[in-house]
This record gives sequence, C-alpha cells and structure tokens, in this order.
Amino acid sequence: MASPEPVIGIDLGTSYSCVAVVEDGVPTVIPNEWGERTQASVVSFLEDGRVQVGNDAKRRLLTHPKHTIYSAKRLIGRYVFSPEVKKAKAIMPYEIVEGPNHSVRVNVLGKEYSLPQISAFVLKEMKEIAEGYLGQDVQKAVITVPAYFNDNQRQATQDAGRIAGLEVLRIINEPTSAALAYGFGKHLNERVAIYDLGGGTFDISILEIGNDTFEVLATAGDTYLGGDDIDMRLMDYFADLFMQQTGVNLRKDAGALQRLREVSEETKKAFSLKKKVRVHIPEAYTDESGKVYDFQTVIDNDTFVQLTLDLVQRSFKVCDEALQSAGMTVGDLDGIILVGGPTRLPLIRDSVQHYFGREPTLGIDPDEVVAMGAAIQAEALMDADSTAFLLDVTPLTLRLGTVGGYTEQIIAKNTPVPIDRTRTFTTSRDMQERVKIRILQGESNRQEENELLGEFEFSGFRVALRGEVQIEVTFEIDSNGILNVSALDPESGQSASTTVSLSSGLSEDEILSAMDDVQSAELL
Amino acid sequence: MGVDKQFVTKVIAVANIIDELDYYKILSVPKNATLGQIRKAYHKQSRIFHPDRYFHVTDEIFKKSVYIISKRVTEAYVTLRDSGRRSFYDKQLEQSDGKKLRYDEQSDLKKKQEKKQEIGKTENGRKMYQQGMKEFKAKKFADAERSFKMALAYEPDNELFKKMADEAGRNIKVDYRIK
Repeated sequence: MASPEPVIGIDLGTSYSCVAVVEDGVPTVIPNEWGERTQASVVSFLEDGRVQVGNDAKRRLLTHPKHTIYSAKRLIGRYVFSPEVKKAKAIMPYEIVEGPNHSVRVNVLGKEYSLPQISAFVLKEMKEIAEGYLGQDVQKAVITVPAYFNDNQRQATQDAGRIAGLEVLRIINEPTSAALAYGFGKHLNERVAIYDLGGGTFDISILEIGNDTFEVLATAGDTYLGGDDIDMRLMDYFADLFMQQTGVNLRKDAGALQRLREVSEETKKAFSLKKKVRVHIPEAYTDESGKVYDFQTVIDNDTFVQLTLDLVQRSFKVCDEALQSAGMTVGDLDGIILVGGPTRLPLIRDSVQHYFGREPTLGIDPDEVVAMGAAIQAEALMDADSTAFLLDVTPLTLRLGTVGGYTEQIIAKNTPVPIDRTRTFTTSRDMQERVKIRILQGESNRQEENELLGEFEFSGFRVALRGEVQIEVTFEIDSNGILNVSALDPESGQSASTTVSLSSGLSEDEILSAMDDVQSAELL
Repeated sequence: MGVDKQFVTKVIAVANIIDELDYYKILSVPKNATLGQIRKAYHKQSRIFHPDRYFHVTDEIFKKSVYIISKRVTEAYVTLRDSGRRSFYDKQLEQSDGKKLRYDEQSDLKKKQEKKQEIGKTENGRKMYQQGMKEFKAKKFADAERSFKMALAYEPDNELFKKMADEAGRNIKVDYRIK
C-alpha cells in the first residue's frame, strides 16, 4: 500500500549523496535530470548570489576553490577545536572560521554559513530532484548518518533537514539502513556484518535479521577514516614525487593542489579496474617566470597498497571491537555486506575477504543501498501495514560529569533503544545550592576526553550538608536516538529537564533565518 | 488506518501499571526462561509495542503509553540477556519480596566495587594479582610467584597476596622434584 503523500530516503554522504523512494513496494533510486544517480555533496556560491549544488558544483572546485564547499559532513556538529576541524583548516581551500560557542562556520564571499546550512543546500537539491521525478511536492524524509555519529552530529544533521524545508521523520544509521535494503521482504534468518567505508567515515554494524525484524547487535566506527584519506595518501605521494622531479612544492599553490586532489581521486578509482595507473597532469604548475611544469608518473598496485595498507588495517581493529561487543567471532556470521564507494577497490575487497574468511555478498550497489534502505524506513513509518522494523542501539556511551573532571557511565554503548536509566547522586559540597549537570558522550572516564553534549543547572533542592541531598538524574534515549536528560529532587518533587541540544548548535532563530536563506536561494 | 480500540485501552492500562510488573512479566516469559526465549520474547514484544509501529497514529496518549512500555521492554531485555545482571536482579527480586522490580544498576556496581576492594586496594596490585592467578592456573608457578610478589610490592599488607605468593612458591619445589 503506497502512502498518499510521497516520502523519500536521503543518504547524505561526505562525498556523494543519493535519494530514493519506494514505488509499488520497490525501492528506487531517483536520478537527476541528466540521469546521474548520485550527486556530489558540493555547494558552490556564485558572485551573483545563486548557488550551485551537486556534480556541476564539483567542477567548480578547480575554478573557484574558495567559493566551493565540499566534505561538509566532516565538519558538521563538531567544535572548532576538534582535531578534524584543525586538519580541515590546514587542507581545505575554503575559509573555515569560528562561530558562536566554538561552532564552525565557513566564510564564502564575505558571508558566514553554518555547516547545517551548507548541508541544507545539498538536501534541498535532493528534495528538488525527487520532486521533479515524482511530479509533486515532497516534504517528509528519512536521512541517514554514520552509525558512529555522536548526538551533536545527529542533531546538526536534523537541523540541516529542517533548514532545507523537510520534515525529518527519522535519522537512521547508514549500516542499519543498508541492512534493511538488503534484507527487506526476503524473509531471511541470518547474522550479517555491514562494512561501510564511506568518503569520510567508517562504520561496522553487526545485525541479526529474523524475518522482518532487524536487530543491531553491535556497532563501532571511526569518524576520521574514509575514502578521502586514501586520496590524501596519493596526493601526498604525488606532491613529494613532484618535489623530487622539479624542486617545486605544489602544496603552496591552492589551485595546483586542488587539481592534484582531483587526479588522486581519479587514480584511486582507476585501481578498481587496473593494476597500474598512468598519471599525467599537463601544466601542473607555472612559476613566476612563466616556466611550465608537467607532472607524469606511473603508479603500480603494490605502491598503492603500501601507501594505504595501514588505513585498511585500522578498519579491522574497529571490526574486532564490534565483534567482541556482539560476543561473536567471524565464524558466526552468515554474510558480509559492503557499503560505500571505496569498497569497490580490490584492495578493500581482498582485505575484507581475508579478514572475514568469506567472500562479500554480491549484487548490492555500495553507492545506492543506503538511500534505498532510508526510503524503505520512511515508507514503513508512514504505512500502517508495514511489518519491517529496526531495533537499533546507541553507538557511544552516555555519561554524566562528576567532581574532579571524572564521569560516570549512565547508558553503555551498544544498548538498545528506546530506553531510560536513572541514577542517584548526592551533593559534593556543604550548603550547595545548585548542581551543574554535564552530559558527555564517549568512552573515557575523563570529561575532557569525551564529547560535551550539553549542560544545565539544577537548583531548588534543600540546602544541607554534602551528601545529604539526593538528586535523581534520568537519561532517556527515544526511538529517534535523541537524548533527553532530567533531574529530580525526590524530597521536594522539584524537577528540571532538557532535550540535550548541541551547545555549539543553532538556536531556533538561527534555524529560521537559515531556512529563509536556503529556501529562497536559487539553485542553478 | 486506526488502531484497534480494545488494543488502545489495553496499552494505556498496561502503561499505567508498568511499575508493578517485573521483567519476566514484561517480556511474558517464565522465570527460568533461556536466553533464546528471552530474545524471542524481546522481538515479539517489540513487534507489538515498538513506537515505530505507531508512527502514523495521532492519539498522543496512546503513543506515550506505547513509548513507556517499549522502554521497559528494552530495559527488561538488556537486564535479562546478561547473566551477571540477571542473577543480581533475581536476588534483588527475592530480597525485596518482589517489591523492587527494576534492576538497580547502582547497587550492583557498588557490590562489584566492594568485591574488587577485597582483592586489592591499588589498580596495579589487582592487575598483578590477576596475572598471577592466571599463571597459577596455567601451572606456571615460578611466573605466578613473581607476579604475586610484584602485587605485594604495591600492597605489602595484603594477606591474600602473601598467601598466594607462598602457595606458588611451594609449588615450584614440587616441579623440581618431578624433574
């Protein structure tokens, strides 16, 4: 039964995005007007105020590197002092600046944009592609995020959806979504691992599929590992080689570097089919005197493997962790599903096959499967007759800050949701009038090694000697994966609660004004 | 499509008395249920009570009730699927005369902490003691003696460490005699 109003699924990727819809019970990827089934997650701003998004915008990386934003997903929901942002500042040709409350902004043509706003342009483009295909307005969508995204990154993605004019039905995890697309309607009874290596992130999820119930047993990930990192290795190798050949440091020339980045990506992709790749950049560099340098080399597969092997090995450490969490070994699995463009590389396929001791399942498109799963989930939520449903887990441990910079674990990673947990704490000082509730996410006992999700003050309880007053703190994760925290004084019944919202996130006013901006912008 | 009226009434009623049900009743499994039965019951109850199933429903009271039940179903599953938590929970049920129906993680953790304290007061002492026990069990008595002595270096007054170091030492001699 189709729902009367169309609902779509969007895979908002680091490098590419994809949109799908369920038609007559079959998930279908929606191509753009040129027949392209995935769109570059690139936003380019023109001098006349218009905005270009997608594969055309990607072409402007070369000509307008400072006005063209890519890999925004690596920055969304992060603090400006995080290592990923520092790294991005060093290598991105566009300008990254600090916004209010340590948030990240990009500055293009004298205007500052928040990261949710940049992603909103991509989402708006996906929405318009769907509308063009379906011939009607689309308002509701399920959007996917890496399983290992923290609460800040999830909320920022949800904000991006709202800014784009979408009602975000649900934020779901990419590997879970892929499993849904793989197992939907097949009446399977198996345990599968989803190995998801995207442009900027890596996730592994282990699921048990029983008929139409998809239960996530464990998930683990690395939000600093992706196909982009493979490109970077190639780029460094080429830049060093060019230095040896000519004595010129290409890294100092933004335009030349961008060109090299593009060639690196192409070279990586070429290794999916070839054992040896010829690289030629005519006029790679022109010096002040007008002397022109070409760049030429041949790189073989062995060199490529050597350059990137440690990245691949890192992914298997994460796999070890997930299997251990699920209490399983590779022998307990019935199938391996590969997701993400980089998994097309023989290097990855061979290593995965070696690690899991079996060939990955064939016949699944690693670029499209996530969007298809999101469309299935969107349809299932709107359709009363649907039987498929997901039982997912929270990927990272949720903690409460305690005295001395320590934390107390409240909800452990890989706990199924929805769930709530209450813990009782006491005051730490005599005559204390208020307590600060700090909410953190991560795997360390120390506060500063975790992600700060938010904080609030609780007061109004009886003023007494330390340890005499008890405060009950409840953490609650709803089925949307969103965290709510409340504090209660059982003696007086006084309570306070908050939906934890990213302390560096956007205020309601900022979202509304960004909505105006994005929705009125003319997409080329 | 609406939801069956009788079902709505039932869900709201169950949500109201949720604090009076123990985890076995919530999952509707017997007290001696196997892990397999518990998992199956979790899937079955989720199938009935998971909020995603009623996403399209507009009755907010019903949805709130579904959510309350769903959270408790997950909590029951998380507690009963772990043998350590389950046995603590069973004891808790027994000792409270069936009055404390939610797993009290805090007292479970506290108990574990106390047990840890009995074994050793320092992180390193405990670590060396545990390593010694492993070696002792593997009959590597010389290694075990060294580990226990290391543990003693961190906590010179620990009777248990002393006893184990002596015990390991005695066993080393036995080794020589066999040779």
